[in-house]
Amino acid sequence: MKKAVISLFLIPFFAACGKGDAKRADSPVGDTLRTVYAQGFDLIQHEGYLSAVVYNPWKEGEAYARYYLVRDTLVKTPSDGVKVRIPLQKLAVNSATYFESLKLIGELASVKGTCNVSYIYTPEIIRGVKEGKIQDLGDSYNLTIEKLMMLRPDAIMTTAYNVQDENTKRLAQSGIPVLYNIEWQEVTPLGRAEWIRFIAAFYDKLSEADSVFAGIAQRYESLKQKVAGAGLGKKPSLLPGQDFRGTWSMPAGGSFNARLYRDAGVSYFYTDEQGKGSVTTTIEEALLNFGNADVWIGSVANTYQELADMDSKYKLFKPYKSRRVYNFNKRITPSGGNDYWEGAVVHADLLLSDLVKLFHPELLPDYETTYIQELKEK
Amino acid sequence: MKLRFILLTILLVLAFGADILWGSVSLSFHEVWGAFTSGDGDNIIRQIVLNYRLPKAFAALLGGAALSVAGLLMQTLFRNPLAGPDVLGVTSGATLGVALLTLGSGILPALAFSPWGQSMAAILGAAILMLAVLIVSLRVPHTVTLLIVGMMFGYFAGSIISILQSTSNPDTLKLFITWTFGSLSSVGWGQLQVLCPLLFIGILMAFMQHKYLNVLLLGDHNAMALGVSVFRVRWQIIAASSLLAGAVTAFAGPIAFVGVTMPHIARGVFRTADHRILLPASLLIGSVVLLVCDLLSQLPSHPLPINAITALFGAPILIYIILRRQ
Repeated sequence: MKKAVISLFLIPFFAACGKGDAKRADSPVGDTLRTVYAQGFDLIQHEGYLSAVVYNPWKEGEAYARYYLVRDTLVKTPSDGVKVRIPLQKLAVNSATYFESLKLIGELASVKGTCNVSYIYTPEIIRGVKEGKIQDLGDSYNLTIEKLMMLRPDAIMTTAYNVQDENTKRLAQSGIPVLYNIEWQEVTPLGRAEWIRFIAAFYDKLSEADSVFAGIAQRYESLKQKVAGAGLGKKPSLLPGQDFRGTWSMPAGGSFNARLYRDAGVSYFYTDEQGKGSVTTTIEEALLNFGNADVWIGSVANTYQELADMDSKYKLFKPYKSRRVYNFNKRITPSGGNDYWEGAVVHADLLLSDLVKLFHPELLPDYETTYIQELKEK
Repeated sequence: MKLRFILLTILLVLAFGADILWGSVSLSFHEVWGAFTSGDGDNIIRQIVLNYRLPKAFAALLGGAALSVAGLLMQTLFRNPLAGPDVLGVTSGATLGVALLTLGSGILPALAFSPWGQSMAAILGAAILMLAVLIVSLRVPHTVTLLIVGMMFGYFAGSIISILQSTSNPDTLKLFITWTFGSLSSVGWGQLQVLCPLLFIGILMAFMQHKYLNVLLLGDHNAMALGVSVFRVRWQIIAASSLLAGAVTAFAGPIAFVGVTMPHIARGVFRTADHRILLPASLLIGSVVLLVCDLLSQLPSHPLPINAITALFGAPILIYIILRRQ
């Protein structure tokens, strides 16, 4: 019954913006639980077990990993994947981007090992490490394998890159199921957020995740429709990021951020630039193409004074002069944790709302930005 | 002399044992011993000791031995106390191979997702560079010229690596940099099965040259006057050294410092220039030192890169030994 209600919620989204091409269906039998936005994974219900397939983002159509989720280990599963007993009780993580998803399904307490503690924002995890309840496993690129093994987690959730590195190999050899979560490769904000369902599958909490995600998707879509239907005339333009030692990286047209900008009704110079990654440019080119942009977001400075000190050329940009420069540092910790990299992964609706508030404040009069804040004067 | 060898061997056994007993997680002697002997008992501890610490200790033992021998060969060939196994650019070649794989996405697609990808890319890079150096060595009469050519090869490889680094994204860059720190723990049993025979061949080749190595110390012309075919000996020395350095770098990453300094420590301890003594001495000392460095790198709460430890502790020790010799 609950599943039917949830599916009803998702049907409008099938129609509104489902994926164009057919989904790869590697598994022969089974009922694919539709992933509406995410391209990187599939959940397929079989007789007695649930299979989760993570697709290889760098090799079209290939599976990166397969998992067979069983409540009872005696259930027979195909040999081409890792059998994982669910629900997980003890999880080790190699990235902070999973914390918010876990929190939303009420399973944050299952995290018993984490990496790069100083860069974590989620206060419960920081407290857990301080109190000794959560093990500090070191640097995410070079985990202390012995500590991980002694922790005896039910699984370790980690990200993956376009090349197999030694660290990941050691993880796989340690005998602990390695759950690859490649949400960062998704190019749509809702696609990235939908990985909450992937995570929830391992806790047997798919219905909770479905309802959380349905809410996020619904709020995102309705705001996007509102922006599209608002009849805004000339769209305000945006300048993203900041240069570093001569190189200014900006999102390419097919990237995650470029899509976010389009959904927020913002004009962006590189919106037609091919590619899912970044465009490398220089400060001179930026001045040429973005010198008269309306709003500058994603600066690394905290004050206008600091920005000017970094490079006096920044003072030539219109957003600097009109005092419309913003960074993503509204929710940070003193040691370097930033919720923009954690919570915003799931809260795609808040991310969109932040941008809409900046560029079309009249559409969200009562909303206060969550992750974005303006630079201070000094 | 014999006594010193016996002491070194005892030291080696102790160092090996210590490297297995101590690690990031403290295990009691009983627990470690139990991993070897009893069938039951904690499976995780057995995993840690047998599948993590044991192969790592072997990697340190073999790697230290191989790099020291390679370093000694280079120092004798070029009659240069600062020469090391990386002087002919073999380690740069291996690093370039891994850089192309990790940073230059799509350049080596076949290797990208293979579990042996990084090692194969490194071996490929090292082999290509070694071939280049060997070919050049046939045409170059003066050994010093060869040294310069080798170094230039290294610089060339290094510049391509820099370009790749400058255009890569932060995640893959960190992956690559982590590789350059060197990692003995990335050598598992599977890798040891390949590494062992390669190093055995290299060390055998080196030991077979001990007579010629002594003669080379007298200079190329004197060696030729004594009937030694300098070209042939040079060729074999380069092949052996490249094989040793290339193989270790392919599996454990570039491990600096050991190759250059262990021969000096051997000379200091044994006070001889005879390669019949220096070869095995460097081998043993190299093993001991790398085992100790590995042990030290695992002691802090989170392991430090092996390259940092080798120089951190090795440099002062070397200075002490050299000053004592004066």
